[in-house]
Amino acid sequence: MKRSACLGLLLCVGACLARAQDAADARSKVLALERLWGEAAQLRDINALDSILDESLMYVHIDGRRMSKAEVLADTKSVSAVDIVVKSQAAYVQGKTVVVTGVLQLRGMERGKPYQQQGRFIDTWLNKEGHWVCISSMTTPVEAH
Amino acid sequence: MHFQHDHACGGSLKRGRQERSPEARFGSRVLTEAAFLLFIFCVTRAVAPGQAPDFDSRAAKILSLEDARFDAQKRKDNVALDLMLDSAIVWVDPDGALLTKSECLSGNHLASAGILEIAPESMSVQLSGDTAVVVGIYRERGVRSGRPYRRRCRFMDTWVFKNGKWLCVAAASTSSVS
Repeated sequence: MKRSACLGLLLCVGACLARAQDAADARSKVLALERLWGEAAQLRDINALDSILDESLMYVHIDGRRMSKAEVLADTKSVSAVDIVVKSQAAYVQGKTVVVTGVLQLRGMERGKPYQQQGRFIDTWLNKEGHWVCISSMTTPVEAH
Repeated sequence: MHFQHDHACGGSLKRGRQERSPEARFGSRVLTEAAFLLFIFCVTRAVAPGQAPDFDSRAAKILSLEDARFDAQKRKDNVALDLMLDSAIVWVDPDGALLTKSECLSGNHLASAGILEIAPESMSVQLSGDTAVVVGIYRERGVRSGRPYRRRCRFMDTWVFKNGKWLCVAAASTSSVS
């Protein structure tokens, strides 16, 4: 009886540790993909972006435009070079879903004039058949106070 | 001694089986199969707790929760909001400020926003397993710093089916609507 109780307790502790490890793995993988996204956007690496964005992506640009995955890829190809600096970010694991929020700074040229804009983003990542893909992303301009 | 007792029981059982009628054997097989199916059901429930039902009803449920969320915001009903928002919700308001659940529910935020009217104008939902993303536009009217204001915002909410119910885990909005 005691042996069964100990075994049960060990199994419970093992399951909890495994779940915590899974969450830590998910967090680090998704944050690595966030970095890859930033680099791919700057380098206009469409293939890399294609692999991390879900086909049914729901995207809201910092200027308020709602875009599909195809529109995001086309927009990335067409715009002039943008310098993206992620100033802070944090990931929250919710089972097979990870929510990442952070602050980014965009610097570039538009109609020959330099611009700088700061936004707060929320990205949602989902584990689909063992691969993490971004299913939604929205950036809200941060008002200067 | 113990071993001998078991052995004796096994022997009597064996004899009993040999003497069973075809009906009794059929009944025993049905019971075994039922126990096996019950075991599979329990394992499935343990591995995938709280799997949501079919797509259409889930989408309808999410949209009704969004309506309820806007209604609770308008009425500043923190009890209703508390039930819909996950404890670890990430909330970004149209000014770009990041709020925790307690900050959303503290009353200060919603009360100071002075929202008189807030209602969704349009929304669409995208379901992926136990995760749903809603994108839409809402209209808001209120009083801020003694001045009336109106704004039209685009929003994006993420809902996750957890422990048998849908909870909003992320909510963001922007007053930039292209």
